[in-house]
Amino acid sequence: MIRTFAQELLELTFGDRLFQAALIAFYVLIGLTGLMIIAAVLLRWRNDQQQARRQRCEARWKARLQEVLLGTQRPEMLWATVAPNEVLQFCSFLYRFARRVKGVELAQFRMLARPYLPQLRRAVHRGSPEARAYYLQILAVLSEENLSEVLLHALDDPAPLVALVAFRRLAQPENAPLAPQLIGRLHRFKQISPALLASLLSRLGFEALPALRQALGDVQHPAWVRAIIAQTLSLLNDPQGAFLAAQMLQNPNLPDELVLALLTLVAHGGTAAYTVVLLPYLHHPNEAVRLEAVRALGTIGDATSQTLLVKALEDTSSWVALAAARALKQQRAFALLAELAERYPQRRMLIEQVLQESFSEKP
Amino acid sequence: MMQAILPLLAVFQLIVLLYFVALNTYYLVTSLMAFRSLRRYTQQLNSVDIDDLIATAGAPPITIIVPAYNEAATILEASRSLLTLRYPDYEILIVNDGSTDTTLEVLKSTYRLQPAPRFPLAHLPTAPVRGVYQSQTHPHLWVIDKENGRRADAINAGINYCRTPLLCLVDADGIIEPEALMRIVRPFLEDARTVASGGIIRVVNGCRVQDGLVSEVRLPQRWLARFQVVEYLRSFLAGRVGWDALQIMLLISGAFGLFRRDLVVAVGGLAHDSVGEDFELTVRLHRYCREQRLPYAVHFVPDPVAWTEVPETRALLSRQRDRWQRGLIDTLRRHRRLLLNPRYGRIGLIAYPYFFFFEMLGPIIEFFGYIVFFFLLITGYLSTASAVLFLWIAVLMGSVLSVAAVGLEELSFRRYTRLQDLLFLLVLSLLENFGYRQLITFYRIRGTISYLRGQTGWGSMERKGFQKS
Repeated sequence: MIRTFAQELLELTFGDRLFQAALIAFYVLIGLTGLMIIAAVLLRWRNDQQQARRQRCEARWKARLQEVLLGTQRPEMLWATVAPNEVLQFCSFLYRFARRVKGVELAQFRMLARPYLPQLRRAVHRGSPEARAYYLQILAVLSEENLSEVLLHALDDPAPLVALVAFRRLAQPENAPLAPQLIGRLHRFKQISPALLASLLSRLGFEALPALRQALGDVQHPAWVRAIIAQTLSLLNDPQGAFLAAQMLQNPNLPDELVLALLTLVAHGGTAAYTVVLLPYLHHPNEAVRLEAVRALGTIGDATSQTLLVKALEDTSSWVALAAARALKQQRAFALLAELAERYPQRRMLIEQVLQESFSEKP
Repeated sequence: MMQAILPLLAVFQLIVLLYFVALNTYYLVTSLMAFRSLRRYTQQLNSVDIDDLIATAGAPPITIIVPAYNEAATILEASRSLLTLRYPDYEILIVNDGSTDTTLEVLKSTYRLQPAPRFPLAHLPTAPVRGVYQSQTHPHLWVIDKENGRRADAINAGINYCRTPLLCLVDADGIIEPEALMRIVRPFLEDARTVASGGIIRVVNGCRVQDGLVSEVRLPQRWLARFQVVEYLRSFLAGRVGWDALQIMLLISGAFGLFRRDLVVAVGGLAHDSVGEDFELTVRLHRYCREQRLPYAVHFVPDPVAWTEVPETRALLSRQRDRWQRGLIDTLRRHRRLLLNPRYGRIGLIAYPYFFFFEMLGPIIEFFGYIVFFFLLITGYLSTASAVLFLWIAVLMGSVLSVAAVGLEELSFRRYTRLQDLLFLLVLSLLENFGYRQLITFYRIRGTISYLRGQTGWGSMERKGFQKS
């Protein structure tokens, strides 16, 4: 059958059905190519037109905006130049400046956006997730009102992008009382980098510490959430959090990701008294855990921990050895390091590198 | 005799026809996915403030590894572009792979290099390292001078000295845009599973370059380079954006790719004995993560731009495509276990078969398709009407996809701002099917033959340097 079909293919003439079908395909493709070329050119024309229109509008607004900001014109003069169909574009224009300023300047931009906020609020609930996220971001910057309710509601938006924008906007010091709600929504962001989430949560500031500490100790939360909380407490250099971490580290059955975050927390808020907690982790089978334990020892340890650090210098992992050498340097054991460079030829270059590094380099 | 082989030739032509339909359907699907994905991406750019994102996330430190072999003509512009990157925490490691020109001397005198102690933190096997230098003018710029290996060997040497969680592979003949690092790192912040991300490569020929920055985007002067502009647009905007949307990113270009250091070390670095080491590394990362059951993702970000110089002569283009084809076949042979293997998910069932049937076998089918087609036409066994019709259908199918790629560029990033450039790109999309496409097919066939003959060299690529403004 295939042979016959192939044979027919070779002997096609204008009257054959296959030929007719191929001819139709040919016409369709010609049409498609032509349409796409026209579409590309029209797209260019439309983009150029839009850009020119936007530039014209913005040039007009910019001139008025400067006058209003200088106090030589009343805001109404600026508002009069905003056509009803340009409201969202105007808000976007204001947002570009407002996001870079604070205090009195920000208040001025918010005042200028005030008449258009109802329309902006409506835009937050319609359109594509990208558009919703964008307008939510603008609204959060330009609104003078407390938007926490709107933002909390947006945390449950089906689109992760909108939820993330809401999370970012809520993670501000004035929203510290909302820390439990934010922690409770962390499960929506399991794929987001833990460092980013911890960094956002740390923006809540010291007032959020009690809620964060409580969440750290709450075994109902999954380990990855507690690891993020521990990272947040590290960023806030919380001594009580470090105390909690030291207690938790006495449990040998914690998952590695939590152990790593707890060791970092001990390093950031702990004291030499916690050194004993670190000891088992210096021999942990996971290289990353040993590395973090050595770093913590270097930060909180005193002269008595130098023996342990020298031992860590012999670790099979170069990373652990490097961290140990840096920890010794951190403890200003320069003479010891020089002596070790002689004693361990295989670590000599590593020690020389560490001695030459500036103190600003991250251990 | 002729009557005996005629049915076979007819069947072969049918296979060629089906191949064309399948290939173009595949491209159509990826183009449609790319269209949807690019629209969303450009909209998302508005709602995510990259600066803020990086500032909040604490910018994961990155080491940029630049293998350099006889790159005296371009290394300064390339390194300058790296020094102007807007990223808070990065280090540059230029690996001089035993250059026989003045690459090292140029670097030494420009950046006042001094020998400095630096301990390798991984131990991937490489050719001996002769010295490690640190710049006195830019302390985050280091040069590793080693004996000649190959590109993979040079990169592995860089990986050994890398001390950051992420490493970025960049070609010494490329120019990276200042925002590129900020953008390419985004998947690592937004998707904790990310193990690698790639950015778009654009053609720098014809563009004006000043102080390591592309100051004016123009089309190249030479036809061969012009066709490659369309080819690159199709490959990146229609191809890789579509693959990313389908989660089948099997190729991160070594000209600009960001990788998790620990995983690259875990899989043993780049393969020394491969000429397609970038492709091979990405496939190996996929395979490793799947076999170890690690949650992972490989992403493509369409706007971080690396500009690269493409070959402008047939000899250089031939060498490049020959090498690419050999690298492709070699990688597919090494990882043949993946072919249609459900254990490897979409990679085994969609991505690998695409490369196997369309990229590896495609040129052979296409090449012999042309021969049989013209043979049948000349001998009168194929009616002229059918011949002309099918030839035009094939040409138009290719044109539709290239025009679509130019359309995607217009929809998203619009780097070619002059209307005449856009119109010219559209014309090129039609013209490339008459000669250029066949030339590339021929070079790839030659690459296949070179591979079968056991040729493993890289061939040389002469650099003419960037066009200054």
